[in-house]
Amino acid sequence: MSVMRRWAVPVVRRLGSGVLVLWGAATVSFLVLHLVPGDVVDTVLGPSTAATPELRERIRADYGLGDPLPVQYLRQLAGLLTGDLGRSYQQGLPVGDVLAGQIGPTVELALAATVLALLIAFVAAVATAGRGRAARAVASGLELLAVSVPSYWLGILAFTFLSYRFRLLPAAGDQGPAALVLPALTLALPIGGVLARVVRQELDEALARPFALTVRARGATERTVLLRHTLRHAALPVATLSGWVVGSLLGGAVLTETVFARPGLGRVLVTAVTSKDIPVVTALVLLSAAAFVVVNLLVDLAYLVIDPRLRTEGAGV
Amino acid sequence: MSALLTVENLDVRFGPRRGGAGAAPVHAVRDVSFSVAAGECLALVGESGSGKSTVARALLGLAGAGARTSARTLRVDGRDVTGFGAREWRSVRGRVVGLVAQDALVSLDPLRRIGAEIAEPMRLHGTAERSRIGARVVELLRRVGVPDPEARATQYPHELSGGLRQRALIASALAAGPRLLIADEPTTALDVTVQAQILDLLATAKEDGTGLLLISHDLGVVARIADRTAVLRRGEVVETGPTPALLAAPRHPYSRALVAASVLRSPPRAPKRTGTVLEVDAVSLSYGARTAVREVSFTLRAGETVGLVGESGSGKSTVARLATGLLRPHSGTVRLDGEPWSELPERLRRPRRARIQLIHQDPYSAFDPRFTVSRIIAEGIPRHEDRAARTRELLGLVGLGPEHLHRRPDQLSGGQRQRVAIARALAPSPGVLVCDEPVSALDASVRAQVLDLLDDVQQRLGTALLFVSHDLSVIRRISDRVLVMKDAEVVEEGTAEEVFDAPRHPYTKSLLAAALTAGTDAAPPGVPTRPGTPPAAAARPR
Repeated sequence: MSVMRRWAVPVVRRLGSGVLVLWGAATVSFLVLHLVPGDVVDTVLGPSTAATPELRERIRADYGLGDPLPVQYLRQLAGLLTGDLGRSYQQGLPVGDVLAGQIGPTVELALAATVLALLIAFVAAVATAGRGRAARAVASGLELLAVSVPSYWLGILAFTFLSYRFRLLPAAGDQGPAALVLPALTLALPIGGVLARVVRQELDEALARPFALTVRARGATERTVLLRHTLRHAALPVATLSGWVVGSLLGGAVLTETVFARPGLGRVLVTAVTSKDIPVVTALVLLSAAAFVVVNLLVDLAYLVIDPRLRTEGAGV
Repeated sequence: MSALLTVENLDVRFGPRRGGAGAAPVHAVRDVSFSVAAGECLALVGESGSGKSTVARALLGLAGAGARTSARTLRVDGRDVTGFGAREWRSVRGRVVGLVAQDALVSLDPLRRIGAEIAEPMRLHGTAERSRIGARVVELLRRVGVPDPEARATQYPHELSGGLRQRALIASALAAGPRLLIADEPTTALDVTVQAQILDLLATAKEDGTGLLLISHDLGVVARIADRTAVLRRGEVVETGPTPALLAAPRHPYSRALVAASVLRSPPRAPKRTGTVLEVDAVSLSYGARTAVREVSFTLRAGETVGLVGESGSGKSTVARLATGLLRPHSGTVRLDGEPWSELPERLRRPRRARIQLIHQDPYSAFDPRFTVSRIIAEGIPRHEDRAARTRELLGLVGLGPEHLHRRPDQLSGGQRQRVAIARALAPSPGVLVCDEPVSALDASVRAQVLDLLDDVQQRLGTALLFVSHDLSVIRRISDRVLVMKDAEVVEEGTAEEVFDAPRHPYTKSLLAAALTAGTDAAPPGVPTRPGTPPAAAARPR
């Protein structure tokens, strides 16, 4: 089997299922809009807007509400394919424009938080795996604390001390990398806590497996066993949890962005849900689905990179 | 010859030091003494749990967390290692003493290439220049007889066959040029022909002057390669001596029992009942382009045992699954009790499933770990019967008492678990028992007991057995008729005497020849063949 084929087949297969998921999400959002009782125009506008008859007529025309449902459905799909996410009539802007400036800060925050969470997880796990009971108890307790403490409270605590009392880091806004530190840390801590527990458990399991004895019998130090052999084994469950991590990041972004007064999709979502700006909410749902699809594709590829046993066609997965 | 390894009064204890909470300390190795000279092979034999592997690990300072090792003398290549710290131990491991651990599939890191695994000891000990390591890896692979070494070095363990994997593991143990090699069950789980090759390879290393400490439960393997043998029982050496003498005239009762159990004796057999219970007619099955089973036919009569023997990948387990109706043949038919079986839809097959039962190699993974023995067995008893009474009856039949009723699988020994598996399979009073490698994971003495039990059950109940195994001596011991499978086909069929004493097909001949060079089938020298058998049947291939 050629290298190209080995990688092309799983990639194409997973891309195909990703497209199916996105199509499903678009279909569900279409159905919800049309199955919710009441006039579609009212749903699109939201409850608090007093719209002029001209605006109502415009919505009717934009959505083609006079056409049969299948035609409307196909038109919406076609619009999505060309990148047209619809229009927010509350803000009087295309949804694309509403989101455009906000994606960057959120992606920035999510990436920074992911890197931090992985760093926390692997450092904590490697430092304590295979160690005595005391070190593990301390690490385990700290992780439990990180997981249990609500992230917004952690955020408030962090900027109260670090920003107001000691003026070390800016508390709000998105000016420069320094402003990213606190929100990213707030978002990363609970995720890092969970991942650290998973990584350590996997490391401990791998350290007890027969191949670890072979490596030690070659004269390797415990650190070599950990870093060169078992760490790769521990990467597998982390990849598995990536879906959960993306969910936590999206959910956490809503709170973190609000607490730290950062721009971003989380804040857009809060505003849109509060004011029932349905086109924006729908677009965010589709965007989250797309994020999940992309991440899961990457995760599946990561599996193949990490574990050669899964590369054989028809085996595993 | 100067001793490479001298061990005097080695003790290994696990568990709390004194008065600690929890389990009592376990004294795993007691007062063990032996030595190995350069170019010499010492075998440590004993059953599972006797402490063989613990001794091996203690010699590398790797007895494990919570282990306390002490010895009056522990000299490795002239160095006293009793007071060694972590750094000094690391300079011994891999460089002075190489370890070939049990089961190459799990003893090589599954996520790394073979080449990286073999290179590791050289990197750790700096025994080869960095630029030379790649060439050294290829050289080592060639030395252990791996064909196409350049390509193999880039492959992962799961991509190699069992034999090549074992060779790669040996190459990695030899990589940094240790003077002593510890091989822990190096041939277990390998096919007989591959076993013979691996033993040849170890013998070559021995001739090159490497000291060899061989750990094995298989006396046939030991007889073939070990100069001296130490018998280990519950952590103690009960007997040490030159291998031929020890196997021919064991002095200690435990050694005698061990030697006796390694020879499987067939009891006299009662005449068989007639009546065909299972007819397999020209069944074939393929997975994609690969044919797993090609046109296999045989019949099984009540009270008869048909042995199905072959190496791994020959298709024998697939035949067992076709017979039980767990797989559907692409062509050909299976008939059970004279009625259609393989072509029926599962819905119609289900009421008759009780007639044909399956016993696995590893009952531990086939049982629900949370079920008690009584629940495991009762599950197979038809509803209208008195389950409590029948469960006790079945337990008695397999030689277990009511005290085992409320145990869970992890509270039983391997042999007891296989007895429970047999009771569970007998619960619905089947006409056919399909046994897939039922004794392969058991120690010799337990293996003999389980085979006796299957024989006994068959005599009493008239159950027909389809017995699948890679082990020629087991097949010979239990079978009335034998089918030899190779590459998805039956290449030879006949009575056990015909196949074993006068094999016709070249493959059967090579299989028997490999078995005796590997020694797994040959009786150790000097052991009397079973008494009261006619000379023709007693003449084992040797």
